[in-house]
Amino acid sequence: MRKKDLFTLIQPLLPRCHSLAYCLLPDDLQAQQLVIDAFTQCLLKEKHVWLTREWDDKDKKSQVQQRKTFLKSMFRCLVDLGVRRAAQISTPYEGQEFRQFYQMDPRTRAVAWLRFQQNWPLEEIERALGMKRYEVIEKVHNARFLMMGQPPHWMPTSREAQV
Amino acid sequence: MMNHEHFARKIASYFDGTLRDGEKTEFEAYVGTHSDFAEYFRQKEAEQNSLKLRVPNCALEEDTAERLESEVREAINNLFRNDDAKLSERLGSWLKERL
Repeated sequence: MRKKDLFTLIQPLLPRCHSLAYCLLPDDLQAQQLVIDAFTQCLLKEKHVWLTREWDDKDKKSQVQQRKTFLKSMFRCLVDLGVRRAAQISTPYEGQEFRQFYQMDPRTRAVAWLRFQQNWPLEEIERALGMKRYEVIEKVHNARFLMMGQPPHWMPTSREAQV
Repeated sequence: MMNHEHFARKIASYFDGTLRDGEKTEFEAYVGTHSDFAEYFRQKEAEQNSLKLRVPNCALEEDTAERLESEVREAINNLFRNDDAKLSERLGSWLKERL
């Protein structure tokens, strides 16, 4: 794959990568830096794979497939790096609109973004992020309840807690 | 009513596609035959669809996109540069061995 081809493959994925990065670190500059770092890490990790792959300008089906593959590796790097970075630097969310979303831990936010914003099935999330099935189910359930302003099913309601 | 509670607990799993085939069929049949539960289910379905609006989908602004693209180009150039450097190093040592 040539330089130009690699850029053609990656360019359309940048908005989605940035959106996921912003879910992890709600600051524009930090999110941008996260995308660049994750991208570099992803390329270095799988350099031999991407440099030896063929890119056919006319084969749209293969292009879609290659983008899908790259996106999954990229999301894995983004989330792993973003979760670690979020633990090191405090990036408070200043707005009100997504307050409930940003109250969740970063990995749950990433899972919620993939499930509810991108409509990914659970098994795709499991494979892309290298998580166990039960972890994904737990995070999706918790995110659903917390974003609806209800406690998760395993958490006692305030009345139950008082009793 | 007992059945309502039983199937209400399965709604989230139904949305996530984690019910087994038999359970899914049983669930859909129950929704199809109980109008009061079907109404409750539709309400939960609307809540499920509204979740998308509660998750941020930050749009990339033009100047941010440009900056990101130029950084990505640079990362790709560096990647190839390192590779080219290693290639010329390998060629150099190969030539040294031969001469």
